[in-house]
Amino acid sequence: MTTLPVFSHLYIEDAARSLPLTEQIRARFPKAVEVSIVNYKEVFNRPRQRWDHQQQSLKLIIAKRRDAFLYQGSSFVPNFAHDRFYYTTPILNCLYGCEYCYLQGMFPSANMVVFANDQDFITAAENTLTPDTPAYLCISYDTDLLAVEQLFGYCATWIAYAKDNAHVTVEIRTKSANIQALKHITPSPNIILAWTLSPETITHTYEHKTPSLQARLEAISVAQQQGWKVRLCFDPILRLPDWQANYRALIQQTFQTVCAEKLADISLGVFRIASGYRKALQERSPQSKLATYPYKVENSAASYTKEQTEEMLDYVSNELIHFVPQEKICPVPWQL
Amino acid sequence: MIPFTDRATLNHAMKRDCLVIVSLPSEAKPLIEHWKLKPLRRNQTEERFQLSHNNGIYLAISGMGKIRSAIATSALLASKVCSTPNPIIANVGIAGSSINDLLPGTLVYINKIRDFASNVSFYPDVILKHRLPEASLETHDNPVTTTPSYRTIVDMEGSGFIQSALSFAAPSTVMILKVISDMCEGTRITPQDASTHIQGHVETIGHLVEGMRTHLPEPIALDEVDLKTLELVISHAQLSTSQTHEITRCITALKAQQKPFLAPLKNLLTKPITSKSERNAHFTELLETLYGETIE
Repeated sequence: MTTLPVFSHLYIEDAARSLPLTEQIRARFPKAVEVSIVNYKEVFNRPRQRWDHQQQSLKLIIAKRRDAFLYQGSSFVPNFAHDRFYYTTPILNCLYGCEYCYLQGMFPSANMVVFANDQDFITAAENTLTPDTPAYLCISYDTDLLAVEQLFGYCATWIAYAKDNAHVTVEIRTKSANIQALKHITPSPNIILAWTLSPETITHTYEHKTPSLQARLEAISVAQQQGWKVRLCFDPILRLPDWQANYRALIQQTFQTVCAEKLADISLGVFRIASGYRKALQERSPQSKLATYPYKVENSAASYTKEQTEEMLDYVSNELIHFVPQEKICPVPWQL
Repeated sequence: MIPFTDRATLNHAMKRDCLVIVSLPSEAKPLIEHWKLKPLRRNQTEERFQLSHNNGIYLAISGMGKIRSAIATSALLASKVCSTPNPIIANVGIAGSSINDLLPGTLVYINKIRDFASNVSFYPDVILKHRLPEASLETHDNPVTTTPSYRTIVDMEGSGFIQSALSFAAPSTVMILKVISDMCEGTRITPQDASTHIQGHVETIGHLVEGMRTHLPEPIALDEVDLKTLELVISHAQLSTSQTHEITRCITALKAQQKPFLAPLKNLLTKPITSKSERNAHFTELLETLYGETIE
């Protein structure tokens, strides 16, 4: 007996049923079993869900977001010198299964929620991010939008928004190699495609279901050739055995494929997580060595010690300056 | 006391038990014969619900109606009749249909259960592949004798069963299977009819139950030695509730990673602890030692 395929079931909120994006998704999955629901939370927020079971056959919940279209940026993530820093969550959860991901601690379910009222998100952004001050908006934090672009088209929607709102810099963070999903779209200078990169050994062991390092690098190269602004994110840096050698190899491999001169910048950060999420991660994945690493826990956060953090950031920065100028390297300082 | 939910770690080799709840003896009969179940009467609860058992399958007869179904499910889960800690929980029975292509004799996999009286819905996860039609089920307090104007399946137990089951178990370990017995036209269903309907699908039901037992990874309890040592440490050091949770999570993880943890735990038992500050210092030291095991 095998598991059902990804998105074998569509749980559709009654209020979302008539939205154009819902129709588009239903057409993409004509064989999916449809289940009517009143509110996405009655499926997504059920108690006692087993993340590991659900990851074997993810379901898609199609909902209508009623409020909280934009959030203030978290202190755990860099704002790249923007005072007005927001993020938005058009999708909750991710196709990938990275062992260290905070989503496992944040959400009660592994299933994916897509909010089909995409235009309401755009309207909220237009109302909140007024043109008087530059703003920075991350749209792919609690998911990987590029990985599911063919299904939901959210990247295209936000890129169109960015073209009309030059004062807003929009970051699309991804581990995907799905750059061909954007091949018909003209790059916009205020869109940043931000790729998370990890050493091949980490990608292989801990970033389950993600594209290989080389596939990501080739996607970055294509994006650069097409004219997209690209950011590299060596974040989270993990302190595992042989971490120095692994990160050195990662950086060397990266610049064999990626054009250093064309990079917008490089973000560096060590693994850090809210301590409550870490507890949930540990309970859900007791077998994960990353979840049970003896992190320093302080001020409701878990991470490496200050000395370890500085050592890791210094080491990776020093490897990077062989390829890019120092001013392009943006480390996230120790935060506990 | 060690939290029950923390007593688990992943072990893919362990097969789950299964608790099957049916409402009528006539529904139970073909399943008892198929699984060759024998009566199990270790206590009053097992007697009350006519529990029978063989090879990891436990079957109980709840009686008709959602309240009886909920009582049976709760009583049997709370008294831990099954020998594995997180069994598959299934409800099998007959149901009426207002869906034209779900005719009498059809076995249906239920993906949503709505309690008609309260209008509250419940959702089991459907993880494993099957070849059955799926539908949502509506649970009524009384027999439905007029065909509903909308597409649904109706019964009198589903919502009580699942509300109870989901109070104990993960939605992915709960399954409801219904055989259509009538089209809600007020036809009287005899016990023989009910048996015949279930009899026609015992092989498929058995296959689905077996699949869930085998393919969904089962958390296993820390073994008796682990738990006893842990209880001794908690008692000796008078650990706080949060420290108890922390140490349980830690050794559960170490067990899952096949790392040693008993020696450091026992080492703590040799240290006199006379104050909170001593306890906290020893606890921090213990955690550092234990978590240190996970680095390499």
